[in-house]
Amino acid sequence: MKINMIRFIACFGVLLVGMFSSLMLFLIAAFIYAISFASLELIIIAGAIDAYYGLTTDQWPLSTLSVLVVVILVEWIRPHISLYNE
Amino acid sequence: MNSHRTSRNKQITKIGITGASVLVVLFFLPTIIATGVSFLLTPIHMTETWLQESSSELPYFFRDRVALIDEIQSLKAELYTTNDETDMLTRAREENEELRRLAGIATSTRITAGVIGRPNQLPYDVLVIDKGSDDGIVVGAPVFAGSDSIIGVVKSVFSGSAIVSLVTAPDFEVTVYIYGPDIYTNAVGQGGGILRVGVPQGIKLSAGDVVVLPSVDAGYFGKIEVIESLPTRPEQYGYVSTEIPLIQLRLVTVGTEPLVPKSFEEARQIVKENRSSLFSVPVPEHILVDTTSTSTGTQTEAVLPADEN
Repeated sequence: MKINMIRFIACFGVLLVGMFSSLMLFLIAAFIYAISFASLELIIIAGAIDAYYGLTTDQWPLSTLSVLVVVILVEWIRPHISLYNE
Repeated sequence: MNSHRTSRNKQITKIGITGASVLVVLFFLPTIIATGVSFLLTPIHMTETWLQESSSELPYFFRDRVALIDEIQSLKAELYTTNDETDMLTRAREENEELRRLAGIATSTRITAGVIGRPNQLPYDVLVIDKGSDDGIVVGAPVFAGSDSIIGVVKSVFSGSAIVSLVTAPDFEVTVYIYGPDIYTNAVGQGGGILRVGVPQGIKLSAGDVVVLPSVDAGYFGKIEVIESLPTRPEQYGYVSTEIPLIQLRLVTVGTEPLVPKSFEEARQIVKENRSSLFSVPVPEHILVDTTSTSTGTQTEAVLPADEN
């Protein structure tokens, strides 16, 4: 329950960083969140950011595409940095 | 090991499916997501702007507690004197004057809106305004800073807010007319409120040349401020910025109708009207001395009418 609450707050924090700061800061926040918790909701957050600013009609959805890259990268390196306990 | 690899493959598959679904929804049904997000973010934008710019006591308290205490003391003293002006009254007066000026401009064809998000506060080169479809804002409507300085067009509208795409957004191309060399050319946005016009070498481009957007009736944009011209390059560039810096923009006016594509003849007419309006001043009749006024046959000493100030 406590971890879910922390995860929810962190997810909201990532959304605010994405909405009010630069793409680079958002990607750093997304990377930390993906390493700590999970990745799927980050894609939805990035999609929401691009949809809100109307990026899909005349520009590439940069947030969504870059978060996809970050998420795939995290999933690729996760087994190498995780510690498995018996 | 195999179970780890299998679950990892499953996770990557889930990510791929989620990413593809989000991209499909983004391209075909973006308004659904955008409308939902706007309900969450518009109050946050408005609260942030209120805390940063409002002259009310509470946001000013968070900004500078010491200054607030001094100001309370000076406000108490000001009750007994009428000559002292505080920063808060000056700010309110300036805002009042700006609102009065815009109220004179805001006719039935324009809607006044407050800026609650600027490019330096947002991840993209857009403005967020505090009026939406409930106030008559429509997609495609032109947005002006001041009376006739166009800065962008409404890109998306929500019930209580709207997103404005700036003409100075990176790679945004517009057709412009430059007074001075009197040429039509294309300009490209550079971001940060800067538009770049490119013309071949040999065309005389000067700082101060006025640039207008002939696609808009009141399409004055700004003046060329910097010229970049290298003898080794076949083209030269002029950089134009808005008269009011975007980070200082607090109020804008929005047209009530979307922009309609103009033919070249219509654009020429707009350029002609802009040329005369830029250099015309509405002088009252009893002050203007003009050749069209009637004159008597006798010679009298010329008496210039008193200038009213």
